[in-house]
Amino acid sequence: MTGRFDLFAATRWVPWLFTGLVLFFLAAPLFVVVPAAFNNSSLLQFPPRAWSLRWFHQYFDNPSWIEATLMSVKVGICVSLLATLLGLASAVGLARYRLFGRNLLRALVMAPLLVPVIVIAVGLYELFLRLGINGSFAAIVIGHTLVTFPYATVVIGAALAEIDPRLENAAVGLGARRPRAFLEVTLPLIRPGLVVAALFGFLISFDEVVLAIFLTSPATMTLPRRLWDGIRFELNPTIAAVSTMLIVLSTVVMLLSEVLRRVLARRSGLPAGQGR
Amino acid sequence: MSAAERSAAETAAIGAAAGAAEALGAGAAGRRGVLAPRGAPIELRGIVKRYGAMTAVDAVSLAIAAGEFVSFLGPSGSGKTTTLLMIAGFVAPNAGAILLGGADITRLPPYRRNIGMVYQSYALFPHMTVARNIAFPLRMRGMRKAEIRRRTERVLGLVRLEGFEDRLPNQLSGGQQQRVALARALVFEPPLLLMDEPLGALDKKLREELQVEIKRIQREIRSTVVYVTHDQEEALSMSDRVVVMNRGRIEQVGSPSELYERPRTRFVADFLGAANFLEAEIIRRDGTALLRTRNGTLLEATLPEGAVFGGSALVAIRPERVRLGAASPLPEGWRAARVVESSYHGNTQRFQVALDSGDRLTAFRPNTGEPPAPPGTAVAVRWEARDAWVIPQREDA
Repeated sequence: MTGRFDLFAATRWVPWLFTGLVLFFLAAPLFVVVPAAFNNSSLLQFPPRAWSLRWFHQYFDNPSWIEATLMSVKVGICVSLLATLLGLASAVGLARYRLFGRNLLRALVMAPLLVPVIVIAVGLYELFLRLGINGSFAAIVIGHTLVTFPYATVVIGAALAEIDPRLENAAVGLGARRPRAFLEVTLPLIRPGLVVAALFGFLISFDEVVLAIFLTSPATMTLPRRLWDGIRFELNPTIAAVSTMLIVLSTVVMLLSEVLRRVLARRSGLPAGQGR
Repeated sequence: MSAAERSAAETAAIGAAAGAAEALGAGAAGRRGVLAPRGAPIELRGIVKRYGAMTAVDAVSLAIAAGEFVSFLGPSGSGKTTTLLMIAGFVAPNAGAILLGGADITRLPPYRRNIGMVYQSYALFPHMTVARNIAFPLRMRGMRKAEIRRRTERVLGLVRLEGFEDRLPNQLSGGQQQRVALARALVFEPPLLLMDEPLGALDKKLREELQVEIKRIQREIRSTVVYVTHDQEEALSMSDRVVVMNRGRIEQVGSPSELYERPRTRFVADFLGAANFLEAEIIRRDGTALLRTRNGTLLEATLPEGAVFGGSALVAIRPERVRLGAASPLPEGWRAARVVESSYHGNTQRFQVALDSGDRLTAFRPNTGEPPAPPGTAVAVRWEARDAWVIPQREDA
């Protein structure tokens, strides 16, 4: 057998190379943006020639950046709560009731994921213009809720699918009315899913720029919108500094959601793999 | 049902439970573990459940006395679990009525029926400790904390799980989980306890252990129990009466020995234990009957009272009632036969033997250490007329 060319062994590195290239491609912007944030020059320069934290100072000293950040936090919290509630309602409805036209309903709930955000943005702009709420706090919250609640539905739906629907029936048999059985049994069991849905709702809203461009006004300017304006009008490394902080925040929230999910799953007596 | 009727029915159902609770306070307070000293009678009146064109339960009527242990036995799809779910209130019958303690509960929602239920999957709440699981039905009834603690302790004693209060269900073995499920179903002193294949998920040894345990608890609390199983041994050994179901109908109701010794249909004879069936013609009848099979075997058999037969009948003989002996010399009253097949089952040896007429019979012999009889061995075979039973109802009737 020696001397024979083993194609399998010879090409074993190919998938690794491919994976490596994809990962590099995904991460490449980080390698540019993060060093640029610590740049001393007032131009967006790569690679940086001297290091400094001035662009971070710039961010903290400029009220327009801070206001935009606080606005994003406020919007994010509202969106997170609304989307989780709506996602819970639609997930329960789709999973537990044999509704007429259930598949059509499911498709409708998922539609915002398929329609390009720019189309939703234009549509909402038009609609809100007629309602006279363009540029208001409600407008951006509604817009963000629309695109995040399908995710919440999916995440909570997956959590619901993991638990035995007979548990709720057992609670009813033991004397609980249906709503009480839901609150006492089903809700605690899908809590990890609810937490993940809420964190993702916040994150998506905190990160969203297209809807923000259409639906915010100077009074409701969110952080991504402020970044966008920064790129268009002033283009200095503050943008890179803010982006770096956003990357850190996203990473922290993602890790937090995974940790919370595990802790909650353990506390609700499910094996670690369950309760997503 | 009108609102007034409904509330009357509720009052009656609750009354039955309250009666049980009262008696508890009066007589049984001293005895450890005694919860509900009396169950309530339950009556099914022609209940029907259809799913589309399929009739899952077809006009089932049955009266169960207070404190009785009744098993529903049948193959899967025979309607036994659907019947149980209708009693529990999770499935609404298309027709008929269900009475618990004399009150019509047919349209009552499950949370108002006050019936305990134990599931094959245990259905324990995984996020609650053992104590919280057991306290659940008590909390739903608005009971005070001290009373909840007292009852939880007592019922844990009853199922012998003292000291497990703070465990989560996934920290318990299957048998322990089922004990918790049982405790949770009993702690609110329901007048009726439903059990849906509660031991189905356990291995044989544990199953037998819990069978004994469940019987002990039932004797102690004297609750009415409706038990669903497809395990015939379980049904026979635990029940006061067994209901054999087949294709949505009750095939036969009776005590375990009635069902086993005097089956009314071929299905019952076949489903409970094993049976030899011989198609034969009745040629003479007085106290017992004399029959002849197509192959010419003559045999005496017991006739059920009051049954009317045409020419032919079906005779059932249990394999353990067919005795085997030495062939030569052939003893008086024995028949000559030849072993066709034999198999070894540990505690029994099983033989298929062919009579001289060509009719074949299966015989079980307790394994007493005798040497096996290989195929071809000549043997003597005998059974008593009382062990040959003419099945009163034909399959197609």
